[in-house]
Amino acid sequence: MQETNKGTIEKSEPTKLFGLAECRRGSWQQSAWLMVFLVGATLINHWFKPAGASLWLRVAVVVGPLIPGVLFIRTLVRDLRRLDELQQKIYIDSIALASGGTFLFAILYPAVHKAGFIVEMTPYDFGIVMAVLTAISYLIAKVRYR
Amino acid sequence: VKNRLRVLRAEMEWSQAELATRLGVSRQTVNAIETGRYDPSLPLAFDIARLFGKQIEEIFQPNHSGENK
Repeated sequence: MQETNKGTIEKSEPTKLFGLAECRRGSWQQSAWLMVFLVGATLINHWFKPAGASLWLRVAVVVGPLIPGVLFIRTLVRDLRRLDELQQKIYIDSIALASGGTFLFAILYPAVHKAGFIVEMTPYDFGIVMAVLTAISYLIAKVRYR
Repeated sequence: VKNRLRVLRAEMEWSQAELATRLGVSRQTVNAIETGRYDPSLPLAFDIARLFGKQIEEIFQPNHSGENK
């Protein structure tokens, strides 16, 4: 038998670590960086005219949106590490399924498009496909382990 | 892997939420372990055993001898 008093396991403030406020703050940061990235990238895609622009300006325009993009990924990974092991499994499974599904879809897309089953898609649409697949697989896993 | 977590928790008169708080995991995780839908990692299994003052094998047993789920 271990010489440990029952019910006195020492943890570093678990209620605070997994509290709702903590999750919400992480989600808001994720959403904020993602929005900044998407808005920045969209503005550049629509309005930036590379003709006549200097090399440095073109580099800045390409690298600029990457900054909020990298911060979004950093927040995503940091929030993932805050979750407990089952939540991490659910999250990682969802991302794996979405990544795999989007990869298959992207490879098959030209043939499916030529066959007339799908309208023309932009890179943004593939992002939406991945987001939808992630959300669906996440919800299924949440219900499964409820 | 089957376990006696629900029985032990009932003996302590803890809710799933209370046990989850003591272990530093979510209530969903406690429920998934109790219903056998999720097998905890070794560190979490040790934490559970330590919390109840028992050995791991007193709480977790393979479904069949020598065979895990």
